[in-house]
Amino acid sequence: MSVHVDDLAPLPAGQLTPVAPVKGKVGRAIRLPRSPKVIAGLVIIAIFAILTLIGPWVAPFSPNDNSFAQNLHPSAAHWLGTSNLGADIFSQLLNGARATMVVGFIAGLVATVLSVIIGITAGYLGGGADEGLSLAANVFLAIPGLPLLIVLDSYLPASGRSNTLLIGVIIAITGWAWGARVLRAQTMSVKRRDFVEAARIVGESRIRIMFFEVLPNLVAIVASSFLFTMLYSIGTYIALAYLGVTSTSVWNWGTMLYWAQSSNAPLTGAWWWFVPPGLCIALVGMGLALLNFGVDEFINPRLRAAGLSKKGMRKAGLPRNPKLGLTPVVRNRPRPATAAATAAGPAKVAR
Amino acid sequence: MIPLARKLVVYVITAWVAITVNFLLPRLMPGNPIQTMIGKLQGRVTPAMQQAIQLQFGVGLHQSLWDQYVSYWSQLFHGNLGQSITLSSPVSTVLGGTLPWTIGLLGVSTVISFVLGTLLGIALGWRRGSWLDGLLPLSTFFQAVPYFFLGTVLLLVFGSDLHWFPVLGNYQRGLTPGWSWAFISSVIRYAELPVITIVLSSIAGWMLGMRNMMVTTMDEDFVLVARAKGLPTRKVVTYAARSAILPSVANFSLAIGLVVSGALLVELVFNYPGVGNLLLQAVLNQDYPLLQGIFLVITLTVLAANLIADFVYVALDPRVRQEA
Amino acid sequence: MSAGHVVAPVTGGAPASGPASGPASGPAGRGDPVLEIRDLCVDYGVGDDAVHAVVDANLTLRRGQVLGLAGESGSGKSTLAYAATRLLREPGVITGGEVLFHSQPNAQSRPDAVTGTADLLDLGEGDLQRVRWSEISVVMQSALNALNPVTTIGRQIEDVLKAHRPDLNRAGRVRRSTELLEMVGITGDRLGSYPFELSGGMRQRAMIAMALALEPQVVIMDEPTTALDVVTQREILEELIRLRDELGFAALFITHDLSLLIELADEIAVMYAGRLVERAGSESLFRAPRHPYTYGLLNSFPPMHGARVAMTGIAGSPPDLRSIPSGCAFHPRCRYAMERCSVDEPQLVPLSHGPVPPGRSPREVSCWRHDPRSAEPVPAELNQPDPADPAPANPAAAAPAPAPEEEKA
Repeated sequence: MSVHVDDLAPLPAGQLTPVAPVKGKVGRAIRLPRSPKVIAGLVIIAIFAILTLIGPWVAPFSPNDNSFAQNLHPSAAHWLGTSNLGADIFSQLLNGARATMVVGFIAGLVATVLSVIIGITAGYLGGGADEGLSLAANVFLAIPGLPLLIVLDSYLPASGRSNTLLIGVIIAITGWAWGARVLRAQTMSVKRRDFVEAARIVGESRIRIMFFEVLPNLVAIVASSFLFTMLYSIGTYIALAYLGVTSTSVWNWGTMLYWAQSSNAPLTGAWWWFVPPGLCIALVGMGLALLNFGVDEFINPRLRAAGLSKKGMRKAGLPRNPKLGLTPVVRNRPRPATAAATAAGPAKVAR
Repeated sequence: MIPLARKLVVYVITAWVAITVNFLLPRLMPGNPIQTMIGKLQGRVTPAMQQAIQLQFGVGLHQSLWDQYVSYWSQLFHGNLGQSITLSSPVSTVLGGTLPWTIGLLGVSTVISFVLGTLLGIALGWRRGSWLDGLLPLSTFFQAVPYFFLGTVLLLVFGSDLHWFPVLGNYQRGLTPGWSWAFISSVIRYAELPVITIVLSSIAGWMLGMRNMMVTTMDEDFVLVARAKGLPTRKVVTYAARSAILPSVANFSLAIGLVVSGALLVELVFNYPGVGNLLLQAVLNQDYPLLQGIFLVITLTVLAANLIADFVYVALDPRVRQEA
Repeated sequence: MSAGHVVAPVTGGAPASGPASGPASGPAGRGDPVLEIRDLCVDYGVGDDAVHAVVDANLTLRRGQVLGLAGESGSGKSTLAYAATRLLREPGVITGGEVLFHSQPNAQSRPDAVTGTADLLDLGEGDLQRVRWSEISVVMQSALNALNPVTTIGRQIEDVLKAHRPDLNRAGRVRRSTELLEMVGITGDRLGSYPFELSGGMRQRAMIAMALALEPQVVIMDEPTTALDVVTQREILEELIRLRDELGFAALFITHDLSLLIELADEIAVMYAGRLVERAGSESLFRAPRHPYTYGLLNSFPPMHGARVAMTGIAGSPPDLRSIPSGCAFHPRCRYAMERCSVDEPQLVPLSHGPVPPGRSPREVSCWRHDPRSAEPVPAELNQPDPADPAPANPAAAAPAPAPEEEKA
């Protein structure tokens, strides 16, 4: 009988469940998500992605058009009423989607790319490079993002402040450190696996190994990191807009809140002005968080709902939450016709 | 203690980076922002102000960059953060008056959020499949809502409409500050809604993290052994929770940065006279000395909080006490 | 078969056995059954997708004896042991059988220990907690994972004492903990050490000391030496033998390595695909295996000395539990398979001859080749003389055919 110890050693907590190493490209078939949370998240994000693309074209009026009556309640003509300057709020909302989502996406993308490069390099190369990059990551992690961004953006000339691309990149500078740290830890654990060692022996260049052997195995974590960073970026951008740090002439949901706040909309009760943008931000955030749930459950299958569905368990007569250390006993196995283990002979009828 | 010493080094370097950023930004940014700022003063420049601007931004002096840097540092060591343009008083004085309020608000909120979030996370992780699981999507929603927006809504509904909470300010007008019960209870009363806002917005992170870690930890053999030992359930949960809480503490630095940013904005909504309000003024008026002073002070506060969290981590996890 | 009942706990101090908690003191003697597993069936999952991990398992643990449970990974041996003590994790479900525990607590058990016979599968949470560790304890494979990493081992031992021995005060607990560590060869000052500060062997010893804290009647050991190097393995095994002699507990020793069981076990049970295929005294099993699987296992590792022997091994690999072969689960890999083997599932039945020594179970095998009514003779490899059996070879070897000589297979 083969005697192998290795396959019996248990995994330490928190480690990725071992899957067949993915070389070169994502070899595993993409499994369709089944969890309702993930589907909800996908739907929400899809809706807002569409809005991002077509928003300004679908808007009934221009967001800067102040020719309407002021402070109108929502009505058929103006679905979300008008601002105190007489602009259609619904159009502002639709227009604002684009800048908000684009900045969030760009910031998330740039930050994720940065964190991938820095994290994997630090984790794989080790030594001095690791020390230096880790120090940089720790420093950026420790400095609070929003205050730094406020200072940075306040010094920008007016042209810079209305440049959404630039703002996105600057936000990314404060957002890469977390992902880098996580990716570094995971790289260090993937580095020890056999196929990486094999690639090294064969003579693959380090860069090739890092990005074609190690990275494909970290795709799920990169995805999770991207979602999280995009969430953070949108929140930060909105905050900057609310404070008026970024240009107030670029339409995004934060700017809407800025104008609403400075016209005292909360106190005058003009809820139709400040509630919709806030709600949209919350919905997008929720969508991203739900998607992140899905990715989390993919990375760590233990987080998925336990194998037995509630209905299946109830039908079988099992308790709804089986407790640890109290294995359920459901004696429903059909008993064999003859008693087992007697000396009378083993002539037994097949079950 | 070695790992703590390394953390301290990182924090010192971070502080140095923050200070250097403060020094370099006004000098490197295109468009000459300092001149713009001086222009706004429209000639109403007191000698003290003049000197402060010179020292802070190197305007008007003809020193090399390095000399400016050295004198900048010596200023800092003397506690001189410059003069606020809009408030015409030293930044350090202004901050000294408002910082305690912010720290109080933040400190209380963070502690409540952390403790409550962790306890809920333990319950969620231990009793999977119970009604508590409904809390997860709910908390995600609150986490996605911007802090200040939630504050605005709560202010409107519970403050203005229902009058359950006072709005605006940090204590009742007319009360003299002091250690009297009347004053303290008023402070508490006025802080309730801001604290609730911050807690609601930040609790999801702690809760989710703890829950995920509990689920992972419960799969460990030592938790099963705790059960096999016939220990009371409370003890078994403690076994699991002690290990599961470690990542939450380790990730504190990330969380506190976000909470601080959110808290500053909440102060705006409730007109709480903390650093957040100062921040808004500084941004509106491009009051760079004040802006930079706030940035520095906030950074140092966050670093101090991180250091405390690191101490707690070392106390909780004996494995890091020996050199790796 | 009626379910067992729990007799009212012994009130007051220690139960009736003498001051020494040694073996065979008091009414129950060495060799009496202490844990009887009858027709145990364990599934993973429910409904049509359920996987039958353990099918109709019958085992008897006897006081003072070591029962070895051997099998490959996935054979169900750990599942069987954990299910019997209700420690099996989700989605394990016990679908049939009973686990009778005949309890006779000793001086070190908890004051209100369970006495008499109880079916562990019927106990509620409270009663299970009283039985656990005080009467039945577990030693797991990897001490690094089984010990709480952030607490000292002294604390972990004290937890057990605090939970089950309220009669001990702090000083008493510390004294007992020190005693336990010294019993396994660790100095008392290690009470304040954390698991990561100990070597692998020491950790395993600490776990054994913890498992014996309340001098349980049954100790289940799940591959306790697998994760150790060979030298340490040896030390731990010798330690276990010594402790068993001293304290007289019954042990269920689970392993995939049959060679370990030679010295340690009194009896050995072999599992395949969730079923028990053979059970015999260890000497009998080694010298005279009866089941083809056991025979294959024993001939898969070369002896260290003696003449060179041709190795056979076992062709093929263990079946996926979701699609077990029809009839005997082993038949696709069996060189002695008959036609019947692919149709009817054999049962674990006693080999019908010879007296059964007291304190021992009869030899059992689950194989159609040993069916006394079978027309074919038993293959010679499966019919070697049993050292424990004075009687002549299996009468099935003398075939009903008139020819006086038996055919050699």
